[in-house]
Amino acid sequence: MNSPLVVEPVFHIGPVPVTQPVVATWAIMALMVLGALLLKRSLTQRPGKVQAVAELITGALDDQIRDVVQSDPAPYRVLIGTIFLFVLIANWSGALPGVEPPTAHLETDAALALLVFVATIYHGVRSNGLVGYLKTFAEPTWIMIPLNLVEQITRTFSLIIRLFGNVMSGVFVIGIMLSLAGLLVPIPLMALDLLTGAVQAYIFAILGCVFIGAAVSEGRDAGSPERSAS
Amino acid sequence: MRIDWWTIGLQTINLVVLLWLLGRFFFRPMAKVVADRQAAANALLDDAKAAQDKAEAAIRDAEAERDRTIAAREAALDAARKEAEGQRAKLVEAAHAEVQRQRADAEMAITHARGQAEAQMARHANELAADMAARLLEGPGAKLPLSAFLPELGQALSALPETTREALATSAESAHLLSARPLGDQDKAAAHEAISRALGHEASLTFDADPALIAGLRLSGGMAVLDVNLRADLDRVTAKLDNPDG
Amino acid sequence: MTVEEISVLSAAIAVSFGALGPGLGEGRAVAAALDAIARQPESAGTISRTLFVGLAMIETMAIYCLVVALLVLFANPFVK
Repeated sequence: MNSPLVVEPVFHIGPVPVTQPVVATWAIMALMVLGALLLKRSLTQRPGKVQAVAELITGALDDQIRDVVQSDPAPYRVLIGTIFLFVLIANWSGALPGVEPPTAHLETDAALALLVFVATIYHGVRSNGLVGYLKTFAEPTWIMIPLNLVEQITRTFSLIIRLFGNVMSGVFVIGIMLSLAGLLVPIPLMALDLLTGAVQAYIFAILGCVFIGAAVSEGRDAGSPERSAS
Repeated sequence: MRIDWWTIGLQTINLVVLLWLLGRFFFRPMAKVVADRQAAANALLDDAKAAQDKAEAAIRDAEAERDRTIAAREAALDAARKEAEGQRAKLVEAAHAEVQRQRADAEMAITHARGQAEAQMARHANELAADMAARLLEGPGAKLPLSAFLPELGQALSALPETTREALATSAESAHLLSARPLGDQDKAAAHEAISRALGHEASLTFDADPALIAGLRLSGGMAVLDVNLRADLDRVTAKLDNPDG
Repeated sequence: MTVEEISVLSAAIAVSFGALGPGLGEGRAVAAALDAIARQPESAGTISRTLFVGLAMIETMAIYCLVVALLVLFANPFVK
């Protein structure tokens, strides 16, 4: 059995090895952008079914972001929404035959978590100023500085590992079941994977939102309860 | 375990590109559509609110108009009522005054009538009394002699003014002497002599009798009438009784 | 025992114990959530959403163990 931790390059563009997750990501990207373009062309004041669903999704996202950040969701909508939709579609793409979800590989999850990490710093600096943002690391006392720094790293890693572990384990278990029992048996597990995938996409987006919200609001009210979320 | 850094880099780039594309083609148009719809809804609501405000203003105007009308009507009614009350009061007052006046008139008339009646009655009584006195005196009066009256007649003649006395019982216009009973010649001569003495000149007399005098004499001639008889006395008394003031 | 045998054994132990704790924790969480929903059916939506998030969090512990097991099995640095 192949190790789930190793990715093999499919082909090379010059010196750059292009692996299977990258190809899958491209396909998902193409799908999403195509769908967005089609939807954008048919946007009207009186929504059809597709537009109603899209508005429902964006509205729910706005509500969730507003709940967590406690302010206008507009600056975070694009990032959080994109992460949620991409992770959701990527997780569910595992249900298609022959496709391995990009999120089942550490690299994609690392890229997502990196995005969240950078966005956290960006929004923290933007709303509190550079000095203000750096000061939040000395909360509640300066002794906590190393711990706060480590927390930034570990929570990002936990973000990576959580998504990776959930999706990868699903794929891995299905592979094992397939090799042991054969066709049709892993279908309940695949259904469970769909649920897990949706929940994990939601959790990833919400945690990213929580991190950003904590960075934004820490300057305002010291000591957010969300900071220690793993 | 081997981390593929190239894959991480590529995925990061992919995600950033996806972020931009979705932001450009999905989230922003969606937000715009929602905002547009909200704006349209707000505009509609504003329009509706404006229309409602206008309607409410119209209702308020109408109510104010109605109130004004009611107030005007009430004022008119009030004025009419006041006027009617004034009229009625005036009428009542006039009626009162009229009644008072009529009653006063009536009372006056009654008093007057009563006075007249009383006077009438008194007069009747007086007349009755005079009649009674005349009847009573008829008998004894007839027995009285002429000589009882002549001095009195003489005094009355003497009291007359000079000119009247001279004009009385001249030969041109003789005086008329009425007595209760026809006089005998002796009596006639005594009367003629007494009168001539009182007048200072020869009296020319005609004699006549009238039982109505009861007893006594009446000398009438020219401007003067001299009564020396009971009838005249009775009449005087009666007149005095009739008009006790004068 | 060779390193491979020890690795297989330790992976099995890691997964089994890693499944034990989160299993108990998830059981308690679900029980509490059901209790809360029974008391307040009107807030069932919020409770179940929070429950799912919490379950995913707890399950992450088991996933960590699984990852460690997989690392031991497939990316063991002590295997030459």
